[in-house]
Amino acid sequence: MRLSYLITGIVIFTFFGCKKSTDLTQIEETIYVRSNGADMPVYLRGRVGSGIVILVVHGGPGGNGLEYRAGKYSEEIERKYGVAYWDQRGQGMSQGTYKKAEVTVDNMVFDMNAVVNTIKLKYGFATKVIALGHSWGGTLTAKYMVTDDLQYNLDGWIEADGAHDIPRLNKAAIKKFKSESKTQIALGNNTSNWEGILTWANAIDTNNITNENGGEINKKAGEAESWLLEDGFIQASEAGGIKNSPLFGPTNLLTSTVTGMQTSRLLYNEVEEVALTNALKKVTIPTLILWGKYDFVVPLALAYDAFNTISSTNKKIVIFEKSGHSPMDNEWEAFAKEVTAFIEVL
Amino acid sequence: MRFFIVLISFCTALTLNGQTDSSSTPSVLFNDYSPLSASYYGNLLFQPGIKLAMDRNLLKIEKNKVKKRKTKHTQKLLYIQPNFTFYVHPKTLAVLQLNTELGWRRYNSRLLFTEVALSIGYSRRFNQGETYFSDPAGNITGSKKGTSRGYFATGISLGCGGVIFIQEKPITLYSKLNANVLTAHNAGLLPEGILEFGIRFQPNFGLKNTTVKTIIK
Repeated sequence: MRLSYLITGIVIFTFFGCKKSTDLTQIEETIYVRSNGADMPVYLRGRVGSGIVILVVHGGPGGNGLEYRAGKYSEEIERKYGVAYWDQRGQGMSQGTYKKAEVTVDNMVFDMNAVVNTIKLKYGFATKVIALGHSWGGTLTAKYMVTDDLQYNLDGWIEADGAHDIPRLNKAAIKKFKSESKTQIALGNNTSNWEGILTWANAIDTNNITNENGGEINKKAGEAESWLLEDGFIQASEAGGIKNSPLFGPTNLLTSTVTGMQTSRLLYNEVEEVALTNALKKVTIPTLILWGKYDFVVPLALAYDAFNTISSTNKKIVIFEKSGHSPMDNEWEAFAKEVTAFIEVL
Repeated sequence: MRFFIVLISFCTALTLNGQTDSSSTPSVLFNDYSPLSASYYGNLLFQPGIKLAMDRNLLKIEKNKVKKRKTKHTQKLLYIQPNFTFYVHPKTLAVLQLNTELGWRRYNSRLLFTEVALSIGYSRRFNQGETYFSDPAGNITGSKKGTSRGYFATGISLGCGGVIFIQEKPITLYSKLNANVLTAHNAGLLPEGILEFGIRFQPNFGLKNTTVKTIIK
């Protein structure tokens, strides 16, 4: 008799022991959005049950959505909210067939709207969708905000080091290179490197910045950030996060790199002329502007530009003192905290 | 780890086979039937897939070269190979591809071979999960599972391998590096690199392949 109780007990224990302990509202799903000849994957992760989905608009052009899952901040954010990592047209693992002339910022705005509408359709129209654009993703989301009334499909905009005005960006970057070079030379840090940057920056005619100069700014920005990291001005990214394996993961390294390069080349001339500072007046939805103090790719001046121009009554700017172009990596905890604080009051 | 065990076994098998007597090299047209092959077909090696193929041999050239003390016996084979491949980009895409390959294979007297082949085919790439459709106004009109898109595929491959005999039955072990290009993918093209490890065997059934022209030099 006792034996049968014991067996029953073990069976019951085993049965309940097998029950998944994970939060059932945590999802891991891939869907696609077909828009104007492109099939774009949207990797849905995190806690969709919260009724809030953050749409990550990746950088580049030429990046991919899941790159933004590698930072530790994403773990924190996915614990609280749903996150949609979208591979834009001709980038990441997007596929399709369309003409080169169809690779335009306007078409990508249209694509983004299709992704927003898909999320609302899938999870209910009461679901709050917040766009988080970084770098080139900031260009695209800025364009989305000022196109017709599209901004009202969103419940909030998080602009992280976003490039909403490239001509202004180029001028501000040169100014930033000059001022930071002088500061670092005076401090005796990496002197010869900063002297080289200063000489290069002084030689550029800021009234006539060429596309070639634009490419150089990106390259030099990476170098400058690495020296500042070395000297402790920028905080090193913390290991961890939800990294996707480049070989086993959903994003195929070769596919993503090659398609991204092709799309980046096709968009290059158009992107170099994007100037949306004045148009940002149209933005009235809640906006959070997050920026790294030592961002040379998209300098801080653009953060203030955006903050001072948008008409939203609910707007906030946060400067991360120990970050470069990617504060979500350099100061992930503070970044995640600001994102959460912004979303919680929407 | 499993991959390295397979690779080591493959190399060992070829080395051991290399010790056979080359004076009695058999014809590489082992019997009258078309050889069949099955292989692991890994996009960037690790994104897994399989390939199934059948060879149709078209032409064989045999050459005997007398050198000082030995006679070097080489066999060259022109073949056409229809094949079917399936591989996945995990959590993103599943890909079905039908190809026809035209290849040139050169065997030495120890039945080790190298080959080069050109291929054309059709690739169908299936989206993972549901696909949502947007109309020209940006509204989502519906969704469907199993949505796919098709591309024209061309490729080149380089391979090597060798024949071993198990109970007098010829088994070919080979590896191949495939470079494919899909067009029109997005607004351009998509190159792909695939590494293949396979086995080819000679069945005593199936399609006959008796019309191989043989030239002996």
